[in-house]
Amino acid sequence: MKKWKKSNENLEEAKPAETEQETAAAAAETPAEEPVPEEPAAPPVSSENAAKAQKFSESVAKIKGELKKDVVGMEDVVDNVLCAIIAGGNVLLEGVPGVGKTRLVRALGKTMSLPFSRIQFTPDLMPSDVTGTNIIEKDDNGKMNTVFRKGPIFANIVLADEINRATPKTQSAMLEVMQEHKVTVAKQTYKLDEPFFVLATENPIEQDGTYPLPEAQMDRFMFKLLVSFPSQKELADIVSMTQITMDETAEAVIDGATILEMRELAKGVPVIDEVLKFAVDLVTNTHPELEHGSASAKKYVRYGASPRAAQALITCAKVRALMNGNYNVSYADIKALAYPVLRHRIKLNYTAVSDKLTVDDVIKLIISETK
Amino acid sequence: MDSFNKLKRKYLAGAVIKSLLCALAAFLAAFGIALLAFKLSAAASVAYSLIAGAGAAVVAGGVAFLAMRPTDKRVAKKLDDEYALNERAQTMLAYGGRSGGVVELQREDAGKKLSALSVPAVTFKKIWKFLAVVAVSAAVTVTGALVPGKTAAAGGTVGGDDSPVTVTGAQKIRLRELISDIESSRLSEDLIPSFTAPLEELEAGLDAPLTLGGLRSAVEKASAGVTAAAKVPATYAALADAFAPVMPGLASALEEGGDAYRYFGPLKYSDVQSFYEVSYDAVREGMDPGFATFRQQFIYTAQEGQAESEAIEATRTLINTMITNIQLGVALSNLDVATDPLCIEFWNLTGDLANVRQEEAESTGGIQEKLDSLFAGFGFGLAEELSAQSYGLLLAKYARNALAQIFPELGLKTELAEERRSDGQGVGPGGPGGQGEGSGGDGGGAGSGSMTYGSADEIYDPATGTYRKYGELLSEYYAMVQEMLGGSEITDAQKNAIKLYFDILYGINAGN
Repeated sequence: MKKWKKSNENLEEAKPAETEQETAAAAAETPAEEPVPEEPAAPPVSSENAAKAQKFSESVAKIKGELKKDVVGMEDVVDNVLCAIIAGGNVLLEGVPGVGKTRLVRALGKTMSLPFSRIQFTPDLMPSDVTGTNIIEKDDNGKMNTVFRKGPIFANIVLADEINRATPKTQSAMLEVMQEHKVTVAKQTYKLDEPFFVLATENPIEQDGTYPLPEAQMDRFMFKLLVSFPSQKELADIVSMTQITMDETAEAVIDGATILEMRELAKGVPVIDEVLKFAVDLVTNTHPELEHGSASAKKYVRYGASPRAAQALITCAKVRALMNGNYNVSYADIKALAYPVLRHRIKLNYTAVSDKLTVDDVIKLIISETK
Repeated sequence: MDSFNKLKRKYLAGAVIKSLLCALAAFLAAFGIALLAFKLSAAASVAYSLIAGAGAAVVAGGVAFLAMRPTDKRVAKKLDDEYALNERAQTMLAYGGRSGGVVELQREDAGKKLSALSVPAVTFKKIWKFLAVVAVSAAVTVTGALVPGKTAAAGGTVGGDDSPVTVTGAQKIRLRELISDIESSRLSEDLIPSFTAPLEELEAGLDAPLTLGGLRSAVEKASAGVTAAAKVPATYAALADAFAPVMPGLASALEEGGDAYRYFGPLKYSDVQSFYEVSYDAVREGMDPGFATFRQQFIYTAQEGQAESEAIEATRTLINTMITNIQLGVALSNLDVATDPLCIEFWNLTGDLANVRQEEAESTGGIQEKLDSLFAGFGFGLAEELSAQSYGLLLAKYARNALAQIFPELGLKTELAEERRSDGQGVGPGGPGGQGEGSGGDGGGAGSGSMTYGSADEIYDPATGTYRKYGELLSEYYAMVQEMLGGSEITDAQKNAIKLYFDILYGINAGN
C-alpha cells in the first residue's frame, strides 16, 4: 500500500529511484573482491498500471476539454462516443439536421490526431464508392497497372452520414467493414488502421426514399445515441461561437496508440459475478419468449436484444468505470449504459405504441424488474 | 484488507447485539406466555416459565446469529449498499487473490475508501426494530405477571399445590365445632380421644403458614386418623367371618346388623346426638333374621317316644356343642376376649348357657323358656354393641364429610349412603320421601330427592358493603352466634333450636 501511495503521488520520484538503481547496478558491475553483479530491480508492475490509469484519466479529460471548444452541450453524447471509441465499437447517432453531429466527429478526429473522413450516403452511392476500387493507371514507364484506390472508408474515424439513405448493398459493404475492419476487393484484403471507428447517422425526419437498417445490421452498432435539439442557452452559445468562426479549433491531445493503450487498460477492469449476472439478466429480460423474461418485455417487446448487447454492456462498462475514475464495474455503470446499448436492439410491439411508450421507457421498466 | 476486516468485526459486534436482543425478546415473550398459561391453568410455576424462556432465548438467539452473521460477502455487499461504494468492496473481495493490472489499483482504491469510512457497530436506526420487539415481549411478560391466577381470581379456591393458602377464622371455628360434636357425642369415653386427637392435631397445624398441598395432607391425615379410630371397635366383621362355617345364622346376624350403618347418608349435627337410638332399630332390623336362625339351633324337639329325661340330656348336649362353637368362633376371631365388648357379650352368653345346662330341668320346655329369656337379653346386648360400632363408623363418616365441607378448596368428596336396602327403603332421618328441610327441595340424608342450594347465591353483606356468597357468610354468622350463645342467658332449648337451625342450613350447604 505504502509503495502504491508513493508511486501514485509522485511518479517523478520513481525516476530518481530508478536512477539510483541504475547507479547501483553500474556500481555493482565494477570488479570487486566478489564480482557478483547485482541485477537491476525491475519496475513494479503496479506503478506501470498506475501510470496508465493516470494517463487514461488525463487523456479523457483533455479530449473532453478540447471538444468543448467546438461542441456545445451534448455532454452525454460526447461521453458515450468517447466510451465507444475506447471500447472499439461503432455508434449510430440519431438526430435532426444541424445539431452538430459532423462537427463532433471532426473535432474527435482532430483531438485524437486521427485521419477523419465523411461519407454522405445517397441512394446512388455504390459499395465501391465506400471501400475503394481497382483502377488502371499508367505508370512512369507507360505501363498499365492495376492500382487499388482506397475509398473514404480508409480512415480511422469515419462519419457515415444518413446511412439509411444508401441502398442495402452499400449499407452491407459499409457494415461489413465496420465488423471486419478490413476491405476485400478482387480477392485482395486491405486492413484498416486501428483504431477504427464509425459514427453513422440517421435522419429521423426524411424517411421517404430511405432504406432503414435491418435489425441484424443495427446490432453491429455498439451504441445508438439520441441527439436532442439544443437548449436555448446551448443554441445561443452555438450561435455566438459560430459567429466568430465556423472552423474547429480543437487541437490534438492524444494519438491512436494512446487510444489502443486505453482500450487495453480497460480490458483489465474487474467485474464481479453479481454485476455480470445483472448485465446478462438485463439482456435476457428483454426477450418476451423466454420463460424468465420480464413482465414488461412480455407486454411491450416484440423481440429482444442479441448476445452482442451483453458483450457491449460489459465492455463499455469497464471503459465507463475508468472514465469516471473507478477501477471496477458497478451496477450504476450497467444501468447507465443500458439505454444506448439496448435502444436499437429492442423492437417494441403495438401495445407499447398504443400505450405511447418509447423504447427508453420500456428499457427503464425492464431495468426496474431486473435484480 | 485490514480496514475491511476491522469493518467486518464491527458488523460482527452488531450481529451479536442484534442476536442478543432477539434472544431477550424471545425469553421475555416465552416466559410471559408460559407464566400466563400456567396461571390460567391454576398450576402457576415460575420455574417452568423460566425454563421455557431460556429455551426460546437459546433457539431464537442462535437462529438470529446464524441468519445475521457477517460473512465476507455479506459485509462487502452491506458496505457497498450502505455507503454507495459502487461495488468497490465486493470487487476487492472477489479479486483479493489476484494481482496485476487494474485489479491492484482497484484494491488500493477500495482500501482507501474503506479506511475513510466510519461505521458504527450499532445505530438506533439499525436496531430500533429489535428494540420494539423487545418492548412488545416485555409487555407480554408484564401481562403474564399481572394477570391474577386462578387462585386469586377465584377468591381462595383451588390453586397449585405450591400456592400458599390461608385458613379462615370460620374454617377454624367449624373445625372446633366438629371436635366439640365428637366430644359431646354418644361415643364411649375411651373412644372419644382416639377420634378427637387427629382433629386436634389438624387444628394445631392450621396456625402455621400452609400451602395447598400441605393443607390437603394434614386434612387427609386427620380423616385417616378418625377412620382408623372408628375401625377399632368394628369387630363384628371378624366375628362374622369366624362364625360363618359353624353358625351361619349368627354370622349373618352380625354382618347384617353391623353393616346397617352403611345405609345412612351424611349425618347432621342432630343425628350425632339422636342417632344412637335410631341406629338400634336399624341394627335390630338387620340382625334379626340371622339371629332367629341362630336361636333356632338351640331348639331341640324331642323325638317321638323319646323319654323326657333323654330329651333334656340331648338338649344339654346341644347347648354344650353350641357353647363350644361360640367359644371356638370367638377364639378364631383373634379378638381380645377381655376387652372387646362383642366378645364379652358372647362370653357372657356362653356362661349363661352353661348355667342353663347345669340347672335342674324337668322338661325341655322349661329349658327353652330359660333359653328364650337368655337369648332375649343376648339379642338386646348384641344389638346395642353393634349399634355402638355402627355409631362409631358413622361418626367417622360424619367427621370426614365435615372436613370436606370445612375445607372445600381441597376438593375432597363427601360420602353418601352406599346403597339402599333391598326393600328400597332408606333409613335414618329424612328417609325416602322424608321431608327434610332444604331450600326448594325435599328429603335430606339417604333417599333424598333433588336439592337446590342457596349457598352459592350472593347476598349483600352490610359489614363489608359487598356482595358475598351466602355459604361463606353463613359460617361467619354461626361463629358470631356461637360466641353470643356462650355468654347469653337463653335457655338450653333455645340454644338447641338455634343450633338446629344452623344444622339445617349446613345440611343444605353440605350438598354444594
